[in-house]
Amino acid sequence: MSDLASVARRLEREVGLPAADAMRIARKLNKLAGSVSWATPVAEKDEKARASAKVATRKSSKAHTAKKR
Amino acid sequence: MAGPLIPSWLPDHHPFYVSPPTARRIRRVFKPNRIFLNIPFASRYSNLEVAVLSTATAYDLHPCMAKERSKLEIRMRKIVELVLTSRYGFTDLSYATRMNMPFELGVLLAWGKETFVITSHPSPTIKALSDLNFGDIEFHRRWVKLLIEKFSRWIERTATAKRLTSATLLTRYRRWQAFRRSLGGDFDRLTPAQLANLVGVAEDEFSVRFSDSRS
Repeated sequence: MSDLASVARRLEREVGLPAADAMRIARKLNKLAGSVSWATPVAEKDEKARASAKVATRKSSKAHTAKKR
Repeated sequence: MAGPLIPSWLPDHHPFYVSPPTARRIRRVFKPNRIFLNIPFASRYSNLEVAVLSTATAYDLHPCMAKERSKLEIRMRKIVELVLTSRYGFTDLSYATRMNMPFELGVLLAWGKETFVITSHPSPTIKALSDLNFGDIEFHRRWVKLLIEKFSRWIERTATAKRLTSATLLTRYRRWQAFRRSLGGDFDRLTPAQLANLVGVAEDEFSVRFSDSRS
């Protein structure tokens, strides 16, 4: 985790924010990063979602076949 | 397209006149992956705005738009400059009563910018525009998912070789929404370019993932 002062300096330099805004926004980004859902990269999360959807489909299709029998 | 179009033939009393300093600025800022967003700046459009921004930046497009409210003449000059620094355009005609949207669409088309046109529902105004036969108009029915799918299909057809799944783009949209909620009023104050840079810094500094190179 980066220290907020260096992030704020980067925001001033790369985003063109005034110093006061940069520090406030750096704090907001820090808080946002604390959220659990950010830990998984997007593609990985998609794969997990697809895999669990497949399992669910397989289960329901088995249940459907069993019911027919 | 090698560089930007500069309408140097316009006389200095014309509302779209481009002064020599502005022309220099346009040449400096122009990017072949820049896209001008002709979208409503309204709270009821904010979810769709986030969808447009998250999708465009997913494909490394650089969105720009005129957010600030100013006098008509100043705003028009700003819009002209933004259009000329872009290669592509995005227009949403959902609010047919706002005539500036179709007007800015006309500016985009007149200057040969490849433009994606979408609206919420078919309406008599939209039908009249379709009759002009300048291209297809897509419909999103105010569904974020539909807008993302149609816009991404257009980008993949027109602007890039990059391919992304709808699931990846939707996850990215949800993460942009979290980003917007977290920024609060700052989100509306920043330009699309600043937001895109901010996303880059957040990814670098806090290991926040908006998208993944494997997708």
